[in-house]
Amino acid sequence: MKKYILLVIIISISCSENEINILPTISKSINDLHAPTTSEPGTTATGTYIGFNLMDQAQVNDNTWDIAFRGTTILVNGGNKGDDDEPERTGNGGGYIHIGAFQDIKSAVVEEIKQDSFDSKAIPTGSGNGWYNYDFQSHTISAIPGRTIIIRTHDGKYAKLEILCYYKGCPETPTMESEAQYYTFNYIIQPNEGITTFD
Amino acid sequence: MKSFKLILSLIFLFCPKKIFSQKDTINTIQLNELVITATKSEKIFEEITIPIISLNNEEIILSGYSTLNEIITEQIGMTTVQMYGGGKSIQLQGLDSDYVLILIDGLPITGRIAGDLDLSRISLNDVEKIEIIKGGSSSLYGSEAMAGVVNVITKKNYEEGLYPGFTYKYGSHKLHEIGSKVYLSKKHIKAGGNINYLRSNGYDLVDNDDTQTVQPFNRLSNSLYIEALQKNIGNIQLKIRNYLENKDETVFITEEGINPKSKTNEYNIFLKYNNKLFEKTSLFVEYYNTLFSNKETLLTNESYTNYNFNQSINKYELRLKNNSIDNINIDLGVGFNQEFVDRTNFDKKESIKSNYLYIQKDWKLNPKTNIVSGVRYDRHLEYKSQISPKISINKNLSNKFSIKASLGTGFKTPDFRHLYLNFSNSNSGYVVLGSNILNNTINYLQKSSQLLEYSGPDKYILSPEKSISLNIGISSYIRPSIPLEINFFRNDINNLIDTKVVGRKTNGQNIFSYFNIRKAKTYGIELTSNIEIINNLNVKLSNYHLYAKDISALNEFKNGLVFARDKITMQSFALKSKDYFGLLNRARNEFNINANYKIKKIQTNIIFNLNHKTKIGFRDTNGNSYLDKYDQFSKGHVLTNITINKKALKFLTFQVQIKNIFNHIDPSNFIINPGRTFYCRMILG
Repeated sequence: MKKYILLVIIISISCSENEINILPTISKSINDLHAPTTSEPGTTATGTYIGFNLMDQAQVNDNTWDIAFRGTTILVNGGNKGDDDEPERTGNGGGYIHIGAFQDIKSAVVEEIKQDSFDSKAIPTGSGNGWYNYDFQSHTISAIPGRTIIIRTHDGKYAKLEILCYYKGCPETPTMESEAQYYTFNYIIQPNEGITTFD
Repeated sequence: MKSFKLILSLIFLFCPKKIFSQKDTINTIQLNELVITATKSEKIFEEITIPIISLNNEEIILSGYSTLNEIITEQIGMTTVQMYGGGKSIQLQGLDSDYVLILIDGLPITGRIAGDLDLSRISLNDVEKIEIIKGGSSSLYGSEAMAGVVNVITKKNYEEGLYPGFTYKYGSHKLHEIGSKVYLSKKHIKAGGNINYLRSNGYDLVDNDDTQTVQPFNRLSNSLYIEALQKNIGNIQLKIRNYLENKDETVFITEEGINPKSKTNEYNIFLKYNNKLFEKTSLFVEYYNTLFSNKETLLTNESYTNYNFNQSINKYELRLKNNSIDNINIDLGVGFNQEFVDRTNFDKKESIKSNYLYIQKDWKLNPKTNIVSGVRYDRHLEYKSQISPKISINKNLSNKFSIKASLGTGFKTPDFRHLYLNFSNSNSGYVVLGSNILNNTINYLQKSSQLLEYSGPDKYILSPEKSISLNIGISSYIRPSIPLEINFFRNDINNLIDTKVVGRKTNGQNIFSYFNIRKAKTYGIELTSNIEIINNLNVKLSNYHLYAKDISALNEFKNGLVFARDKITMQSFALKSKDYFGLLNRARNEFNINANYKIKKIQTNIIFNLNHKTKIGFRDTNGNSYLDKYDQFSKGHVLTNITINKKALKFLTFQVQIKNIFNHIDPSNFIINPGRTFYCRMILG
């Protein structure tokens, strides 16, 4: 038995040595990414969309963003822009919301990938439509559990992402006084272009 | 909690020993009582075909309570809920207070805030009786009577003579209540007047904040009643009621400011006439008018911000009652109803008209069987007309068993706000639009470049919410003195109106509107047992078990679309149907003990009331928008009250009351519970 296990290990090691181009998936947690916007009644929302590059695991200010945040709105780097504040889509990115637990999602479904357009977003906006619920009683935003965002990055890599909270420090029960527009999220990215699996 | 268990076990220890030695006295208590709400005509309690609770004048006075909510929350199947802004409303058989029709002398009370009616507006000072019927009753009462009807009947029947009365109550939070009434009856004329004033300093439940939880308020209600009775001409009744309320608080104005004031002014007028047209036919004519107005003001930035809400009902009804066939009573009614609302956040004054027609047959098949059937047609101009049938039966199977069954429908027309609201939240900027003004407002937003996106319908016409309710009850007297009443109930509600996002404004905020999107069901069981444990100690035990579920939620759970998140690993996991708890704001189980101990020697009555509720979920706390077993619940709790009545003289009674003896409070969810309070009251007359 022991010998058999040893054999398996040896084989699997030698296999991965053979395919040196395949990189392992990257798993990352981001805390309190601030994506502010003003939204006074009767005015137009203002604020810069915060671009984020998933491979670099960092905020970026150029065309290499994969996903961008402002308030509760999330953009992907593919398709057409909506209002003037939005960044140009220079990449071939896209995305969709998958209903299912983050850890259970084995791969992205390419056919499901949508891109942003002038009047709708790949990640739907509005309470209950996309990644969040707005609670009328507490006037707070909560990330809906079991809503995983599947993303195709600007350069054609696939990632899955789950937003955990929208408030600074991720309080268990946010109130109206909690500091909003701070994203905490987990993601796993498949760094090999065109491969859709997340294992 | 410990003390609660102790009390429970004490009572159950008592029961078996004493139970069998007593005669059946409970059953006779309500024997000659007449009930009017079930059929619109006086009918013996025993023959009523639908579930009913009837509270008589003695019970109301002995309870020591001042307002309607205090006494009906002690009844089985009824639960006080906190309204937006801190009013006290009622749930019946798991249905929200929107679906409970509240009547005074058979006529509807208006002035609902987000669908809820504040029952603390109704003083008990001149109340003779309270009748509560359960189950869909739109066949007689039209809109709102989906869960049932609460009818508050003021004092009208008195013997010839002059009867003055005076009460004074003093209690916690500087509560003062002064009530006086006088009734006069002569040969052909009756008159009654009632005036009641209640004030309180309010109270604070949270120490370390800058606001008081409940601000000082005062209420003045008064009424005048005149009745003329002439054998040939008939009977004419006129009643005017007025209610005034002042509070140092604004609910709808949410800006920062000083000197908050809220003023409520309500009046009701009815004129009723009845006469015998022929030997076996009577005529009843009713005119009713009510106006509720609430005005809030707040000084903000050196100018006053105002909020206004005015709602009015005008109602005419004509009814013929015929009993030409033995043991059959036929009622035929026609009516006209007009309502208007004029308020802040409405573009203009809006009104809705409807006509209706109903017929009811009350058939005493034989001395042991009673069948009541009826149907009502409500014709609306704004939405689909409604037909509401109902059938109910009461059958005495033997001396020891009787059954009651009723199947009825209910409906509730959309509120004015569902149709005409144009509300913009001043803090976060989201917008709620009534369905009738949705398209015009969206067009306006688009023209003025305030619309970012719109995914709603081009035209949407709201339908009334509808329900079917079933009640099956068995009363048994197996042993002479353990009367046990069991009632199963089920309500299926369709077309429930809820908000849905229809678009977004350029400020990034959601636009909501109202749609008939939800279905729900409530079902459960009510158990009541009335036991005379020892002589003059009467104990009523009741238990209420409730399931209230949103059907679409249930399906989402079934299909694995609802998740929760582990608090430590932050991983999401799918929930199953059994994890779904149900609708918010409802306890699964409620248990009540009402004990009344009469000590004749010293003319004293001790009334004890205990109410236990299991855990309640007030909001979704884990982001999936439904209440599931991983949400935070407010723990189960016990409320206990004791009231001691001592008759000092023939016309003088003293009362002492402690409410909420064990001082249970829940400031973050239930501000209308002030904790332990004390009262004493003097009743003259």
